[in-house]
Amino acid sequence: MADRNGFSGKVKVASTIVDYLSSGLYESPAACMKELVNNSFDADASRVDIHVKPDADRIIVSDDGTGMTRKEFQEHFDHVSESHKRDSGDRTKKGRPKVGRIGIGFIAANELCEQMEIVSTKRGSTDLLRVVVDFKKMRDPLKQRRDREGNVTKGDYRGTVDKVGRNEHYTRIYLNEVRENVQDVMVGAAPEANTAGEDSLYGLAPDSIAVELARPGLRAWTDLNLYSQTMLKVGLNVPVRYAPDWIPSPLRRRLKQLEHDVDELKFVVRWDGTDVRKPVVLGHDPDKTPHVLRHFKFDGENVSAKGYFFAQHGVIEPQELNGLLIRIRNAAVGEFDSSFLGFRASEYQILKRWVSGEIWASSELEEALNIDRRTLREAHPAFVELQAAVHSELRSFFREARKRLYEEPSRVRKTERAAAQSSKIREIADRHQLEVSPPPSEPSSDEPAEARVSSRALSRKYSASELYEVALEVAEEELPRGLFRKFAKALAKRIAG
Amino acid sequence: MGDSPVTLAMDEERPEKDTMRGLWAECVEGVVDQEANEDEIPPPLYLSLCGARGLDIIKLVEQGIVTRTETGAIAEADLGKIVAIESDANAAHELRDEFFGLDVLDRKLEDLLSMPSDMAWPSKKMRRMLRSRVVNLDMNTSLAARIKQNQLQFPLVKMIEKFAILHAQDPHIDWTLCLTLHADLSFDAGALGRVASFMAENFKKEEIYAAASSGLLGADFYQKLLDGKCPDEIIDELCSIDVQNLLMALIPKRIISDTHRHGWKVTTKRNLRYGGTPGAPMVSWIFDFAWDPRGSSAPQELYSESLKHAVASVEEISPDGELIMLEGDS
Repeated sequence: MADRNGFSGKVKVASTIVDYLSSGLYESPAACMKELVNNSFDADASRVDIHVKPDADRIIVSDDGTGMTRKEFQEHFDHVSESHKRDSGDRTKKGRPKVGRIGIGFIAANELCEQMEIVSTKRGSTDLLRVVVDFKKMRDPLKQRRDREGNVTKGDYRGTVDKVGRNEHYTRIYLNEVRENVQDVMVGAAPEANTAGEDSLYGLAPDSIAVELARPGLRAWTDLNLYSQTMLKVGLNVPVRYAPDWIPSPLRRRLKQLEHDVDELKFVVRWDGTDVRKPVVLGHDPDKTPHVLRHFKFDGENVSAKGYFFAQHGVIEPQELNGLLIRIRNAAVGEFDSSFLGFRASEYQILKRWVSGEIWASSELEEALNIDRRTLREAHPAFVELQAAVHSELRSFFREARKRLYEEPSRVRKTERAAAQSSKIREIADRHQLEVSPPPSEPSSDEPAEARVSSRALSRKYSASELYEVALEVAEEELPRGLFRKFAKALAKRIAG
Repeated sequence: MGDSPVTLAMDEERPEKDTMRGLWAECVEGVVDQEANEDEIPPPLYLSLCGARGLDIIKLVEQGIVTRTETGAIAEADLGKIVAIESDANAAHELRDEFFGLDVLDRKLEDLLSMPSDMAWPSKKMRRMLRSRVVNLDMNTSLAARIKQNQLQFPLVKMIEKFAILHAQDPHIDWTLCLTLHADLSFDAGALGRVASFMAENFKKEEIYAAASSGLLGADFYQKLLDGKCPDEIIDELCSIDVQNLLMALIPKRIISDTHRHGWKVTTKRNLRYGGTPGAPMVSWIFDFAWDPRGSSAPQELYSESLKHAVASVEEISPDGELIMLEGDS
C-alpha cells in the first residue's frame, strides 16, 4: 500500500540547462574548439578545416566525416547527455576509439557563439540536413518561451532537409555571431591585460611552427598571441600527428612505434590552412643540452598505459610542455601536469622542471575522467593504480636523469677544471724555472670522502693553482734564493703527494 | 545555367578572360596606396564575385598585390583587403579552402545589399565590406530589364546605384566598378522599345555620345534606335555583336544616369567586348567613380560631363587576349 504522504514526479530539465552546464565547463575557447574537433574525429573524418580568420565573427568547422541524418541529429540534440555515441560500440567504423562519451560536446559551441548552424549529409543518403540551433533563444527564461497552453513557443532549433548528391558526406558547423570576447581570443587581438605576446603562428607550415616553438627565448606559449595559443592548445589535445623533428632523431627512432600509432589515425586538422600538429617539440639543441629518454609501459589490474619520459639538462621550454600529459582514447586530459600526478619528492624539485612526458592510458581510465575532461578523479582505482605506477617509474627515471644529466656532467666539469689548474701550475712553475711534478687533479670519486670534502672546501676560496702561486710568490719574496728553490721543490713534492 | 555555353566558356582558361583579370588587377593596384579616409578600419580593396576558383584573386597574388603565406593562406597584413561573394554553399566552401583567411560572404549579392528595398540597408559591418575601393561584378547573367509602374528598370543597375549610395556615405570613398555581363538580353515585353526611346532621347541631347554610339552601333541600328523603331521581335534578329554594341552604349549611359545625382563623376575607363560568335559573347566595363560636389549643386553638368566620353573609346579583346581599340566599325 502506498504511503499516503508520499509523492513522486519526474525531474524536468529546461533547455536553459545547456547554458548553466557549459558555464565553467570550458575554461577557454580552445577547450570548446577541441570538443568540436574531437566530434569530427568520432565521425571518422580524415580532415577537419577550421576557419577563424580574418575576424572570427563567424567560425567554421567542416569535416569530411560520415555526416549526420535528421534522426541522428535529433537523437543527440533532443536529450543532451543521453548520448547514443557508443550505442554502436566504443569504436568508429574506421576502428578509432571514440573520444566522445556523454554527448555534451556540442554545448561547447554555446560558449563561443549565439547561433550554431549545422549542415550535414551522410554518405549514401540524398538528404542534406540544415539545422540552426539558437542559443540566444534557449537562454530566454522558460516562462517567456511558453504560450498560454504551456507549449514552448520558441524552438531551440529549426531545420530543413534538402536534397544533395548521394556520394557526398560532410558536416559543416557554422558558429555564427561569435561572442566578442571570444573573437578577440580567436583572432589574437591584443588583450587588455598583458597576458599574451604578439608573435603569431598564423599561416605557418608545421616545420616553421616547430622551429618557432624551439626558438631559444620562447619561454612559454604565452609569449605568442592568443590566436596561436588557441591553435597550440587544440593541437595538444586532439589526435593529430607529431611535428616533423619534434624530438632529436636518435630518440625519435626509439619512439617510432608510438609515433606510428598516432600517424595511423590519419587525422588532419587544418587551422586557417595550417596543418596542426601536436605542439610537443623537445630537445631543441641535443649537442648542447644532453637528454635522457625512457619508455613507460604498465599493465595493471585496473588500467594499462604506455608512453615516455624525457629529461634534458635545463628547464623545459616552452614551459607548457613541462610535466606529464595523459591521453585517453588519443585525446589529452587537460594539459601537461607539472605536478606529475602529485609526485612528492623534495629531492627532485629542480629536476621536475627538466622533464616532460606523455602517457597513453587505456580506456578504463576514462571512468575516472571528470565531466570537464581536464581532470581525473583521484580516488578512482584506475587512477590510483596508474599514479602509483607512474610515480614508481618517475623515481627511477629521476635517479637516472640526475646521474646522467647532473652528476656525470658535474664530474666531467670538475675534471676539466682540475686539468686546467694543473696546466696553470705548470705554467707558473715554468715561469719560476722550476721542475715540478704536476699538482694533483681534483680528487676522484675513488678518494676517501674526507679528502673530497676538504678539497671542495678549499676550492671554494682558492683553487690549488692559485694557492700554489701565492705560496711561491711569498717564498720568493721572503726567502733567500737558495732556500726558495729548496722550498719550491719541497712544495711541489708535497702537493704531488 | 550550370552547363550553358557561357558558363563553360567562363570556366575555361580563356585568354580574353585572363586579359580581363589583368585589367581588374590594374584597378586594384591603382588603389593599393590610397590612404583611408576613415579613422576606423580601412575599407577592403577589392570585392568580387570571383567564383569557386577565385581566379581573379590568384591574379592579384601573381601581381604581388596580395601575398599568401607558406600554407597558402592570405598573409596577415593582407587580411580583410579582399571580400568574395559566393552564394553557392559548396563553391563558398571551396573558395575558403583555397584561400584561408579570405572574407567569403556566402549570400546573394541582392540580399547583402538588402535589395530590392530602397529603405533597407546592410548592417554596419556589411556596409564596410560593400564600400570596397574596387567592386568587381563579374556577373554570370545577362542584362534583365522590366517595366514596372510604367518605368523602365534594370535590377542590376539598381544594385549598382545602391553601391553608389553606400560609397557616397560620409566619409565618401572614391571607387571603381568592374562590370561584366553575358551579351544577351533578358528583357520583359516592351522593354526594348523603351530602351530605344531612352537612348534616342540622349542621342538628341548629347552630341558626342550620339556620334560615338552611332559609330559603335552602325548607322542602321543607330537610326532604328533613334527613330524608336525597335519592337521586341528584333531581339532575336540581333547578332551577338549587335547585342554587345547595344549594351556598350546603353549600360554606361544608364549607370551614369542613375548614380551621378548621388555625387559621382563617372569615368568610363574601359568599355569592351569579347568572346563573339560562336563563343560566349561578353561585355565588360571599368568605371571610376570620383566624388564631385556638383552632384547636388549642378547634377546636369556632372551628368553631361560623365556621359560625353562614355562610348568614346571602345575596345575588343581578341580570342588570343589582345586588346584592340575599335573605331566605329561594326
